[in-house]
This record gives sequence, structure tokens and C-alpha cells, in this order.
Amino acid sequence: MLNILVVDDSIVIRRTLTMKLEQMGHTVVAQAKSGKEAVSFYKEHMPDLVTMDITMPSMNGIEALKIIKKKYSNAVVIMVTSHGEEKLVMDAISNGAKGYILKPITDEKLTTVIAKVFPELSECK
Amino acid sequence: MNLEDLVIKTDKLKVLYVEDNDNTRKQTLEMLSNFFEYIDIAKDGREGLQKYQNKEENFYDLIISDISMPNMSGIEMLKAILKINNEQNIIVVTAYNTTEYLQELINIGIHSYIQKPIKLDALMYEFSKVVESIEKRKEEEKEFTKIVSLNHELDALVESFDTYVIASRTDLKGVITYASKAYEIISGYSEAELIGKPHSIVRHPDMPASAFKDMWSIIKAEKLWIGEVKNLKKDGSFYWVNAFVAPYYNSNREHIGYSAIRIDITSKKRAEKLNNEITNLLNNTDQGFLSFNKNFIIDESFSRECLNLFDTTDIANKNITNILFVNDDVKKDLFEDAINRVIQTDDDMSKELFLSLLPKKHTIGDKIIEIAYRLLPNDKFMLIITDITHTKTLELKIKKQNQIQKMIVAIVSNKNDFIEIRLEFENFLSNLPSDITLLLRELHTFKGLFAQKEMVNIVTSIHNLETTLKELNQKSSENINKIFQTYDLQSVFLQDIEIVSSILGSSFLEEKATLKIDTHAVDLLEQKLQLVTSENITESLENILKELDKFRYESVFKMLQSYPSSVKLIAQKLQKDIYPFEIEGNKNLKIHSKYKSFMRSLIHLFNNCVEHGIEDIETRIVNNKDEMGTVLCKYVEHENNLQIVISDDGAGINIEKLTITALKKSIKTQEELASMNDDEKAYLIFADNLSTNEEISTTSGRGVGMSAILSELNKFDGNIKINNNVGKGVEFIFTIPL
Repeated sequence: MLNILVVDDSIVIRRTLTMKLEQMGHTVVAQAKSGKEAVSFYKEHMPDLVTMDITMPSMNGIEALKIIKKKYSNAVVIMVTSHGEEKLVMDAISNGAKGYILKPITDEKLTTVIAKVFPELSECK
Repeated sequence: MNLEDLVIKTDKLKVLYVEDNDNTRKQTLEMLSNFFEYIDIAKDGREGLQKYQNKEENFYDLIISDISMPNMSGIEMLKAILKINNEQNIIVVTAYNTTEYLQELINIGIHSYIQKPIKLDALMYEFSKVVESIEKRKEEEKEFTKIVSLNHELDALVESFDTYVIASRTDLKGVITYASKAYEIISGYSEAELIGKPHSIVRHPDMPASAFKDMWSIIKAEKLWIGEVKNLKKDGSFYWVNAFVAPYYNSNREHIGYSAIRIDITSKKRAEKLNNEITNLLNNTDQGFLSFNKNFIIDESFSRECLNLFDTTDIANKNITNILFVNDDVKKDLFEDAINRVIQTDDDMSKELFLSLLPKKHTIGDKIIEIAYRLLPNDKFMLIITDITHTKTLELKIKKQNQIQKMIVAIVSNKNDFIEIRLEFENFLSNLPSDITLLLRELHTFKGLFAQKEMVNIVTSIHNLETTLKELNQKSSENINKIFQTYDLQSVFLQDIEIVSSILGSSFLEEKATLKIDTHAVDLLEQKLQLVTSENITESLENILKELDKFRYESVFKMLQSYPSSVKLIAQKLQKDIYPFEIEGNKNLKIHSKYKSFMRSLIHLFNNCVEHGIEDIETRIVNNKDEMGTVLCKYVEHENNLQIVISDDGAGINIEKLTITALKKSIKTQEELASMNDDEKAYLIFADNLSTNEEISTTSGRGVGMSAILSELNKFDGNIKINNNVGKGVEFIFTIPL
């Protein structure tokens, strides 16, 4: 199972994601409220996966993604996004994001995107 | 030929010189060495022949030989040499002119002689002849080699023609006189099986007779016929050829038959057929299939449904972006960006992600379409477009039907209430209050009431009318009447009523509001009437009227019972979670129906509690509050008063914001506000035109609703107490004298 860093400025999303991910058996190693926190928490915890919100105050998700990918090219980041953010998601993918989830977040969406990014995980089961 | 020219030519010649006399040989050699660089010497016929035989064929260009020699005479040697090579150049040197030798030499074919003593002139003459004959022979050789190679080329051509060209000739009646190897291979017949047979041996039953009739009429007129023909193989299968049939003439220019060559087009025909089948298949589905390249140009083959979808006659070679996203720059940009990114990346996963971000639903004209995207090889893309207008309309219909159902349930569950509201509304429309504040207040209350009854159409219309009225605020009443006419609330309302009537029957809503009267109560009243005497007439009548009035009393609970579901509805709309609640209070408590309009105006307060009181989930979590909000409503009768308490556990009234707004909207002056404490300021939320909301929604924000409650309350000298607990909630206590 994965060690995950959850990044979102909304406490509701952070809680929802953490709850759902932990129910699936993953460990949420840290929760970041901004892009800045995301970068420093990444260094500290070196998680297997980052769920990254796009619009956040004090460094948005794409900036944070760029910084993390520059230092750790193997970092696996998936974006958490809303309708109408398609262009931003494309920028994120061009900058190395491995997938995205469209809000509202559901168990099914989470399972699907994680299975795609970590195919070996579902094979173990 | 002069000596110099001759020597240049003789210098390269190889010579065998045969002479037995040492002196003569020495002298002659001196002379010969001027002409030849290479000279072999033999001392008699036998040695000469040996030397000749030891060399390869045609080694010596010239043999110069004496005749009478020991061991083997010159004649014998030359005879043997000519047997080996009868074209060998030979010059005989004779000591004397003897006819006996001469005759023999002529017999064996030697014509060149030089007499001893050898003279330069004679040598030159003979050598010239030799050089000439050698040159001539070389020329002939060259010519011959050329012819041979030409022959080879021709053979190869004929062979490849035979192997690759499906050729045949027939006589004038169509009987085969020649068939190429290629013809045999493609038809499956051997040459023997074909020659002498009519050409119709390969005719396929699929070919219409008319095609051959056409061909014969043309070739009989000695013209060229070209056409595609399906032919029958010996094994029963077929092959397609493009045939060129022409008249055939003999060397006397007589027309003696026909010759034909053909090109095998079986695979082309197969591809055509396959293509047709696929196109057919695609054309018979209800989906639009098309592909386009990295420059967004649509390929030539697409399914016919595309033309219906785009309502056009052709889309080939046009730009897909312009056709698909007319007048939608946002989608256009998104589409182009995503496609370009797919082309630019090598990572398959990214390609898939980019494709997944493309617009999936779209509207073209009056059609709603669903688009699926597929990546084809060579940076091509396929679109699968489905017209889902029908499905969408159906969904909309179902949604509308559900809405109607909700409306019916809401109306039926409190029929009397609805009949009353309807009467009041129709009254209101026919006698619009001249005071615009009052008008807006009442209109707003009706909107809230109709929303409770789930009457979407009239609610929307009122909402739009309110917006317009607010904009021109405080203008003349004539104007207002005109505006009311343009919005024609009456007919919108009637449409809703008609829907209800069509379902519940026309009589359902035509009934007047009824009162249910207990027969026992009527009996009591009768008894009281009988007891009336002239002395107590005034007092008794008053009592009786009081009793009669009691018939109009209604349950408080009933008046309030629809609010919990209203609150639930608004909460859903605003995506807030609120605990379900029930009205708390004595269900048997009845009050006069005149309080009903006040009770109805409370809808505005409930709306306010949900919209302004209860915070969004985010804020509630941050403030360590229960994620779910609470709204409560209870009532008690106390000392001939009715007390109604409505409370929520939201943010409470923001006094600061309220003060600023009151000042901004000139509801209170700075001085007035300065003299008020926070509790007093809280009451400002009931002031006219006060709304702290920046945006107006259909439920609240107009600053009209709360003031409507106050004006209703004032009709009965009722009062309000507000317990504002900032951050924790607010409690409104209404006291109504009964």
C-alpha cells in the first residue's frame, strides 16, 4: 500500500481524501494546505503518491508540481480538479502529472486513478 | 597506307616466323623487327606447328613461313594450322616462282606470297592486306557481339512479356490463337487447353452480357476497347482485369483477329469492395464516424451521419475545429490545445489523459451530441459522434414530470392552504398595492409560498419580475402596471393551475375553501340561540359571534408543518447539511385563521436561517462545529399569547456587517447607529431593503422578506425578541397576542 501526501487548501477535501484513502488501506503521511507546504512535506516524507489540488493560495498546484518534479523526477503526482480547469490539467500533465480526479471525489474515481498509476498494486491483490 | 601508319598498326601484331635457312632468317628478321615487336621463330615445319599448338587459339595474328624445309614442309605445316584455324592470316615466302607449290597453296586457300629476296614494297603490300583483314574481322566480331547481346535482350523481353503480361490473340471469331504464360497462370488453364477454344471460356457469370456486346461492337469497328472485366478461373474462382482489346493485322494489313493485354486488378477490386462494405456499414449506423490528421483536416471517408449532424453537404478536407465548435472559442481552444499536446508527447499515458480532457458533450444547432475520441496510427484521430438530443429531451421531460409530481404532492398535502394562497394571489394581481415597498413585500411572500408548493414556473417569473422592479425602484405606479402586464404572472400561474387541474380534475381547485364544523359545536350554538332573550340579546349575540368565529380556528401545527420540508429543500439547493427536524408544540392548539398570513411570512425567516445562518461545511469544520447544521421551531401558548421560537446554530447575526449596510443604504444615520447597542442593532435585519447579501438568489437576498414578517406581525401588535449569539447561532422569539 502507498504512502500518500494530500495537498488541498480546503479542509473538507483534505478530510474526505484522507478518510477515503485510509479506508482503502493507504497511509496519508501528511496533509498540505498550500503548494509551499506540499514542496516541503514532499522532501520530508518522500511519499509514493501526491494528490495535488490545482487552485490554492500561496503557490498553486502546478507550480508545486513543477518544483517537485524538477528535484524528484520520479515523483508521482495526480491532480485533484474541478470542471472548467481542463487547460490547467493539461499543463499539469505536460509537466509530468500522472493523472487527475474530477471533483466530486468518489471511491470509484480514486481506485481507478490509483490502479492506472500503480498497476502493480492491483496485481498484488 | 604509308610506312608510318602501317608500322603503328603492325607493331601490336604477334607473328610466328618459320624459316630453316639461318642466313635468310637472320636477314628477314632484321626487316621484320621493324614492323613487329613480338616475333616467335621456328626452324622447320614441325617446330612451327608445335609452337602454334602450344599457344592458345588465335594467338598469332600472322604466320610468315618458308615452303621447303626439312622434317615437315611449309605446306604440310600450314595445312595442319588451317585445320585448327581456317581463318589464320598467312604469308608464304617463296624462293622461286614454282607453279607446283602455287597450285597447292591456292588449293588450301592461301593467297599471299612474297618472293625472295624480300623487298620492302612487297612486304608493305602484304602487311597492309593482313592489317585490313584483321581490322575487318574485328569489326565483324564487334557487330556480331552486338547482335548477340541484342538477341539476349529481346529474348528476355519476350520472356518477361510472356511471364508478366496477360496477353492473348484470337481470330475474328474469338477463338484463341495465342496465350501468354501469364494468361495461363491467372486463368488456371494450360496453353493446350486454351488454344483453339473460344475466349468465352473465361467468361464469368457475374459479367452482364451487355458489357461484351458493347466490347464487340467497338472492336469490330476496329477500335480500341478498354474495360474492367471479371473473369472465371478454371477452378471456379475469379480474377479481375483491366483489359485493352485491339484489332490485330497481319503483314499485309489484313484484319485477322484481336489481340488483348490485361492488367490484374483483383486486389484493387477486393480493396474497393472492402472499402464499400465498411462505408456501407458505417453509413448504416446512427453514429458519425470521421477521422482527421494533425492539421485538423478531415479525411475523405466519413459516415453519412456526419452530414446530418453538421447539417452540411460535405466535410472532406475541411477543418474539424471550425465544423465542430462553431462559435465556441473556449472549446475550440481546448480542442486544439489537447490535440496538439497529444501529437507532441511520446508518452502513451499522457496521450490518453489529454484525450480524456476533450469536450465530451456539445451542442450543434438544436442537436446535443456526445463525442468519443480515438487515437489512430500516424497522428490521426477518429471521432465517434452520437446524437443524444432525443435522450436529453427525454431526460428533461422526466425531470419536468418529476417537478410536476412534486408540485401536485405539495398542493394536495395542504389543499386548503393552496386554495387560499391562490385566492389571495389572484386578489393581489387584480388590486396591486400602490405602495411599491408593500407591493414588493407581498410579491416576495408569494414567491416564497409558491416555492414551498414547488411551483417552479411562477417562482421563476416572480423572481425575474422582482429583479426588474428593483432596478427601476421608486418609479411611478403606471410603470409598475405596465411591467406587471409584460410579465403576465396571471397566465404563468394559470399554466401551473391547468397542469394541476389536468391531473387532479378541474373541480379540485374550483372548490372554495371549506371549514369543517363539528356537529356537536352546531348543536351547542343552536341551544345558545334558543336561550337568547331580549334582555341579554347584545351580550348573547356577542358570545354567539365569538363561538361562530371559533369555526375559523385552525391548528397552529398545521400552519407551520410545511416548514421542515422547505428547509430541507433550500439546504439541498445550497449544498448544506441540516438535521431533519419537526415542529414542536401542542398539536391541539388552534388559533384564528387571520394569523395565517403571518405564519406564511415566516418562510422568509427559515430561508434566512439556512442561507445566512448556517455556515458552509468548510467554515463549520474549521470552527469545530458539527458539520451538520440545526434549525428548530417550537411554539407554546402562554398567558393568552402564542410564542413561536425559531432558532439555528449558525454564525449568528453579523452586527458589524449589518451596521455598515444600514448606513450605506441610509436606513439609519451615523448618529442613530452610535446610540444603539448590539442587541438593538440586530433588529435591523427586519428593516426594509436591507440585505447584506452581495448576490441575489431565488430564495433570499432581496431585503424584502424579513420586513414582510415585521409588517404582518405589526397587524396584531406582536413583537420579536432576538437572542443573537455570535458564532453559535440565533434565536427569534415571536409573541402574538391571541
